Amino acid sequence: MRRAAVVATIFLLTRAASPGAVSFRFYGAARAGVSSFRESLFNPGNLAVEFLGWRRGPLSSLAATAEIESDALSLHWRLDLQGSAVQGESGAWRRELRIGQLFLQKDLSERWVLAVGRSIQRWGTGYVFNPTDVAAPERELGDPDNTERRAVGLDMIKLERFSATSSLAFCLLARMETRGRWRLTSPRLALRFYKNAWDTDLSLVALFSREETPVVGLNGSRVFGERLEIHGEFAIQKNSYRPYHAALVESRPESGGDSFLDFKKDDGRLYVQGLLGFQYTFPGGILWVAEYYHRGQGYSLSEWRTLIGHVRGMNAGLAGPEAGPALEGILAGLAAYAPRGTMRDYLVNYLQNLGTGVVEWRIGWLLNLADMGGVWFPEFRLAFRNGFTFFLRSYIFLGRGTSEFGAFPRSRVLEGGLRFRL
Amino acid sequence: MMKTILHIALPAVLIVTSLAGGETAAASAEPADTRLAQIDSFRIPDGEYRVRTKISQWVGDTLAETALFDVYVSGPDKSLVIARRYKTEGMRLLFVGENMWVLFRDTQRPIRITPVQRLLGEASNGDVARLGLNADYEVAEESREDVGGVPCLKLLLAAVRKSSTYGRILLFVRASDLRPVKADLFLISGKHAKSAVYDEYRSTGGRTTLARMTIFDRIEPAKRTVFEYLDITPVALPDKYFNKNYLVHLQDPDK
Repeated sequence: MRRAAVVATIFLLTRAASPGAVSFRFYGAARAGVSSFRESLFNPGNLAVEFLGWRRGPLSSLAATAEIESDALSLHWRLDLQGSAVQGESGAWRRELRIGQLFLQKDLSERWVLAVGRSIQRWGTGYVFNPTDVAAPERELGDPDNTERRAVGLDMIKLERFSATSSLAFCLLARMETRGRWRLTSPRLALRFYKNAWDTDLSLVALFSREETPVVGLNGSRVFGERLEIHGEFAIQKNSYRPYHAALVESRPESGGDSFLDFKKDDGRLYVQGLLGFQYTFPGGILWVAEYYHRGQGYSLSEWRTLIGHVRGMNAGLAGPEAGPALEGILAGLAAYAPRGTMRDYLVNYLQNLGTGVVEWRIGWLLNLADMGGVWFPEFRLAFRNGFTFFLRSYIFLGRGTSEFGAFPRSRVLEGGLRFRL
Repeated sequence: MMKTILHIALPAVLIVTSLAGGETAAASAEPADTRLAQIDSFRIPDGEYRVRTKISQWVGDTLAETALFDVYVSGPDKSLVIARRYKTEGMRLLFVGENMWVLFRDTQRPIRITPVQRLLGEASNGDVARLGLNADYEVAEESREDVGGVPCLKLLLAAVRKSSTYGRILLFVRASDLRPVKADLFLISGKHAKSAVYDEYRSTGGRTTLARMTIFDRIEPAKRTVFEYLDITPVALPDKYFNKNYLVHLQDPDK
């Protein structure tokens, strides 16, 4: 309630500060879904479902974003308010109201632009993976349109200089914490130099922080002929700051301590993320997007096998009340739904008809190249002219029992709903 | 055999038609680039301006969809399109030379798009944003043909840029003043994709400019898209408006 009052006050203040034209949009979605579970390596005897209280469903959610934007008095400001009510696995509803974006922008001159506040910066060129999105919040890929579970922006001061074919951006990022007192923590500096040369978009990016070694990356994109676009991204960082399962550490203590450790944070190795992809438009407006993604920080096949061996051993002893938390720990740590995946090499393909008609469809396939397991995600949409779109989609997890997606407790998710845009 | 006949006959036809007297001979004697500039003058003025464009898609006699775009043009190879009324309202489309990007309102990343990706019905991105022919095409062949009893020049335009919307255009212009009458539009693959009819002109301030153009689908002739050029206003935008990274920050030039 207090947060809602703060948000309403911010809105009224920004509205009062902008006597000019204000554009307002309201959009979101209501949906319901059911899951099918299977006995798998991470769900022996359906224990995960039983102990973690997972339900087949249907589980529902409602999410909406109010977007307010205005240009007035040579200032540009934008506020994205995100509200959601999500039915959890237990069936209870969880409500949330948050500020997705709230920033004030001033064009200081014909070349310089200053933006202050919370905003989402997308610097990558990839459609599914973005190794060079160093100033972006973690992407939420559950919805291809990203309208229902939109990422929350990062708090920043951004200064960017533009010329006709290039730009240079400085982003001072910090986390704004409001509990107790307002303060900024974890400062980071993100830089991007962009240049369009030889009809190719090229960007050099870097991220500097106190907690981690610098990240340096390069991305590019170019169109060939009338139907093909090719893009790529490359980022490198010394040390890996990702948490890994303790089973990978030979000297790990047998009991106690965390299940996941960032034990590669001082190993001095260079970790590379790379992406190479294309989009091609077939006659009739069918779009094909394909991307290969490598994440050096991911589990290697041998590390994955070590982990699988550990889980097998754990499964043999699973019976007591500790089984639930143990399984939950593994699943949460692996983040099998995580956009960047658990392992190292992935191939994603999707086909969709470009939305010019009433009926839209899309079918995608994410393949783990190490174990050849994958996820299919077909989607069908029926767009009505009044701003409402009915959608039906599924996630189908396939693979051998020891593969990343074959070991996952869910075998299928089917969900449908209605998107609205007012 | 047919190819041989064409090789012999076509130059002969061209020679004969080019010797025809009167105003048509005068028109065809001009250099090609001058003619394309003159043809363009019926669609666009020189310099920097905003063209408010209404697009209506018809299926038979039923109006399926309408959209309103502001097209900000800066010279021959830069244009910025803002969707004012469209199912993706607020969408921004940027053309700079060979490059084209789109930014949808819900997203924060301009993405590169290819010339064939559609915007609305039979109207491609290029149809909306690329208003001139002079920068993108050259006259490859020409002949004469009457259209509806009006003597016309039949110009085969070949793309000179990779980003040209079409690979070839068979353009019919009035021989008397080079005013466009109709066109057949071919993709780079050679496929005859669409046909256009320049069906209404208006006279403003002593200039005659195109007021309405209709594009027909070759495969489904019942489908047609009508472009109405409602208003042309001089508007000069700073360079940054034509930088793809500024699309995210864009301060609406009309507010």
